[in-house]
Amino acid sequence: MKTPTLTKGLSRRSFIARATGAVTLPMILNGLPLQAFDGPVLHDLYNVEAETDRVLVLVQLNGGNDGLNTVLPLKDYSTYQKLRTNIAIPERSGLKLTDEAALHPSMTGLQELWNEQKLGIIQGVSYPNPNLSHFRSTDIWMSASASNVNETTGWLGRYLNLEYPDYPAGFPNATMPDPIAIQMAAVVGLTLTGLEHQSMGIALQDPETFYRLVSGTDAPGSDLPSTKLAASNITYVREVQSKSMQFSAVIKAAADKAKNIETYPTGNRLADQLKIVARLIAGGLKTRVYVVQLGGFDTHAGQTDATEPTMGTHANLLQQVSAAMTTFQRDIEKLGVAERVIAMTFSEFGRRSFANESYGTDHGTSAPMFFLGNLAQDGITGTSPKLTGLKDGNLETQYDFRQIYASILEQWFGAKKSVVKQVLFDSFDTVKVIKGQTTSVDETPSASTQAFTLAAVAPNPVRSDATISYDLHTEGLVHMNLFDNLGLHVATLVSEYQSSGPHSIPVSASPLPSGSYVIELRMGNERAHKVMVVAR
Amino acid sequence: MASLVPYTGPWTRREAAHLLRRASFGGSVAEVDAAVAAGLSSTITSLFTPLPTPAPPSNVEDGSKWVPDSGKVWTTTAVLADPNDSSTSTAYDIRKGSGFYNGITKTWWTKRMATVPASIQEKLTLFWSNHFATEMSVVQNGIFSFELLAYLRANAFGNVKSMARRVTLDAAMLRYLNGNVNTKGSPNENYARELQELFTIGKGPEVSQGDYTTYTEQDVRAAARVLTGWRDFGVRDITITGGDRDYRDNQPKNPPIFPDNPNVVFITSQHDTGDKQFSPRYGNRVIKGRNTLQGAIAELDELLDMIFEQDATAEYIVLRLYRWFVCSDINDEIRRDIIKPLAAQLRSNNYAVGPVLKTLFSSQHFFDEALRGGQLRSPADMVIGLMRAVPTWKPLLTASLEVRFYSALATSLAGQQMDLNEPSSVAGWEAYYQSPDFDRMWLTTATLPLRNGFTDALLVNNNSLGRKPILDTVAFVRDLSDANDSLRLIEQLNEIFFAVPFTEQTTMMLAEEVLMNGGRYYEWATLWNAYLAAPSNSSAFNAVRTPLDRLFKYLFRLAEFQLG
Repeated sequence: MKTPTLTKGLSRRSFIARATGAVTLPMILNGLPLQAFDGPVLHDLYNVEAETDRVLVLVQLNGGNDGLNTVLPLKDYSTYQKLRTNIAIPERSGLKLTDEAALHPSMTGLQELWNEQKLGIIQGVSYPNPNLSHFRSTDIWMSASASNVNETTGWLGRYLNLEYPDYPAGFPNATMPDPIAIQMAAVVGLTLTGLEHQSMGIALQDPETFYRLVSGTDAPGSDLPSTKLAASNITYVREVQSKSMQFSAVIKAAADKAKNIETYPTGNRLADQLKIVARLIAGGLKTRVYVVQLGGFDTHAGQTDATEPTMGTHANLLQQVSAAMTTFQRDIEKLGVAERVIAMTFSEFGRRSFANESYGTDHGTSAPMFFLGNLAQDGITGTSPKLTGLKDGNLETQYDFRQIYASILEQWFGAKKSVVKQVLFDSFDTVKVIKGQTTSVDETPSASTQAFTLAAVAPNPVRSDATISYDLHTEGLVHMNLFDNLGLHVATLVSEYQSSGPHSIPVSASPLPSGSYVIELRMGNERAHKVMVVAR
Repeated sequence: MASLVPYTGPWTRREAAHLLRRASFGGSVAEVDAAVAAGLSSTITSLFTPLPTPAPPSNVEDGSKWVPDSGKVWTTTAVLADPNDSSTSTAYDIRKGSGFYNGITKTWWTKRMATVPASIQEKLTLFWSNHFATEMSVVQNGIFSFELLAYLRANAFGNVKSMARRVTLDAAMLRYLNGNVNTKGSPNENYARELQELFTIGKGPEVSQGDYTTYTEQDVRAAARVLTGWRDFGVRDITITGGDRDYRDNQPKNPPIFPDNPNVVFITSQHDTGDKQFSPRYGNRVIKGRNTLQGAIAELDELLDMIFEQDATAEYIVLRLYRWFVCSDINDEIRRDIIKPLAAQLRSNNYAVGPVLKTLFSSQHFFDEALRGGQLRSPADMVIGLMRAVPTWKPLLTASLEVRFYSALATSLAGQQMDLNEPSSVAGWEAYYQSPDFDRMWLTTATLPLRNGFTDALLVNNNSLGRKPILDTVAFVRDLSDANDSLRLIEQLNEIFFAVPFTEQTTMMLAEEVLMNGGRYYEWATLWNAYLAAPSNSSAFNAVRTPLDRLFKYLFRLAEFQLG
């Protein structure tokens, strides 16, 4: 079975189970006889935690980032030069990535990460019938709607809402004790608006201030006025009050627990935000999505200095992006959480192929997106943008941004295709944005078992009956055992010689007490493990 | 049914406070009571009476004048210190940076909002600064930004069409949306787009690529060409010959074109003299290209005539006003019964906004119980509204500490995401356009705690007020009648500060659990009477102050308080 377990075939319930497994892990480790587990079990358990805590950091570049001066089209440099005589970055100044592409000279940090195979670039991302208004196009990107549809919920809001259906009722809880998503701003954007128009995220600027101001808040009153509008407004404010209170302590605790190891650049708005994000991730928040933003990319005029095209407004902005994201990456590497984090940039549109006379560029269409992280698929996806034969100087679209969203949802969050279709209103072909499953349970060194793949337990958590599926790459003697969270043997599920190919076996959890269990599959010296949660 | 028929229902503190909150930033007890006595009609007349034109702020460091007299340009002799001469320290000194002067403007503006007599004018000024949005930090010229604001204030009730014309040729706007680099052969579309999308006709649904129902991409490009050649007297393009003015040698090459708007010049050679073809959305109109200054002005006038002839323009502007002053929840009924008739009135009054707003504020619809509390307070409603509602701080503030005090208020506004003249983008503050949340966007897990911090701080000794609190709760309550009756007291505070009435149950809870800290509600009379009998007795004073502080702090933290 070639399909990596993590990226395909995970139901929403099993996805939640991953989080549940992570939550119950401290109980397993806390004062319990860990020695009951042998090495690989523990090892895999740690990996279970890692894979359940995948974090997406969305880096929004407001104003419409000029893609051609960000990733220079070396492939057709002479046309580029002609189109933008006044603002063209000299070919020799570009930071060369491939024969066809170079980064803007101010992005030295990202070039290093490129060399370390941690940076991926997807060329020509836009959508059919691009809209050139900042506000409308931003809404389109945030809502993932077709450009002629006004959608008032956000793509991540919808996705997270499917994962956490009743939010905000019943949250926080043991499964999700932390904010589901955090926007490092005063306001949460449309991206995180859920199916019921509730925000799936909270706005946060500074953990310490947040905690101080919230402590002492009372959330009094339960009665509502009889008029509908006022009642709904009061209900809304009470929800904000209660969310602030619920989360202020956990956020502060996480922020206090981890200290940044890298020194972040100062005077860099993006770095200020990412610095806190790194602490919160390393501090143990289970938050799945962070949104950070940097504005100023609407470079109609003075995009470059008149005399020095490698300097100017855009160069400063890209330098900030590069320095902030590079420092963040180094920081999370040192904090030991880099395997859990992917950062993705986007902007509402790119800019025209040609420059205007004010050393700037006007609103355009497609532009590159960046993926950064240890597990980001590195390299360039797509081709160097075509610069000739364009309509109104608008660059052609190679990928619909919803393809990229679909790819992230499937490959990073393990969302099922049917879920992705529900989130994005349609099916989209995916592109590779995440590297192979180097951290998944199934491909850890022992499991690296060329011999078999242990697929998901479904449903998980399980109430009564579940099915464990696995795929043998070779025939042989198979042992599958179930252990409880003390590491004690509960049941033997399989112990026989089996042929190669897919197998599945039913498990009845009815007699088992609620809690987390570990399923071990062993063939010869090779083992793999899965957590199964029994919940009633 | 939503109706613009004049309101004739009850006229009590509750209705008067509602009107003052929405049409202004809210009133003190005295202002609310005065409005009750005067009646609805004269209250509206007085709210709509223009305030005297204020003198511009002086330099907070040395008291020098930095804003030129009306109609005067930025010249050495009148206002500008020679930037090359370090011995001069008066007037507009570019070495200080525009941020210094913009800070002065914000502080001065905050003071005006908090202290002018009850009027709609300052709230409208804030509205226009958000509608014809610029960001001071982008304009980077303290004089230009101040003068645009002064224009918006002076014309707050004014004709939207002439405002659009003036704003199009405003120096701050030319800088902000790159009109000053919009050039023949290389048009910069930025302003032409926002003029249509945000300032006048508004953008409808995109029915096919580049067609936004009300206008199209073709119209953006054509309008950009109409607007080529206009420049501010700025420092940006000093190399352009023929018309610009270099502040360093200070020699105007051309005299000002508009006596009342002197910072704008026109460079004929950079104006696109070709004909401009508009789309079917504007009836395939062609604006004929001209090659003179007067011709370019005529082109602009034809452009604005064309835009303002469309029904969509008046409707869009009324919609923006309605969202700002009434509610963002606009259904078909409101569109039909309120927005469309008001838009018709706007057009028939030649785009004067004042009469339209008077109709709105006098209407049954505005006073409809179902709409009370239908809007969350903006940061200005919150911060300025509280300063106006609790005037006990006013006598304590000395002139020497004013700047510090009002500048702190401006900082609070900024923290709560309403930095004056610094909206998040040219679309203005998100609360006035971002569906579906609109005004709810003011209140998040980040800003609600800041509001709590602000209201808590009202009760704490303030360094600018001689270590007295902004809100002296005892003095405030002393001015109310029947203050010894705790239930009546809470009811009155509710009338003044809240958009919706408390239930009896809440009133009782506030009296017993909050004010009396677990005691019975009638015991308050004993404390209050003891204080009135011996106001200088500190223990009698503290016996009422502590419960009152506790009550106010609690009231301001109630979710209900966030309703405007």
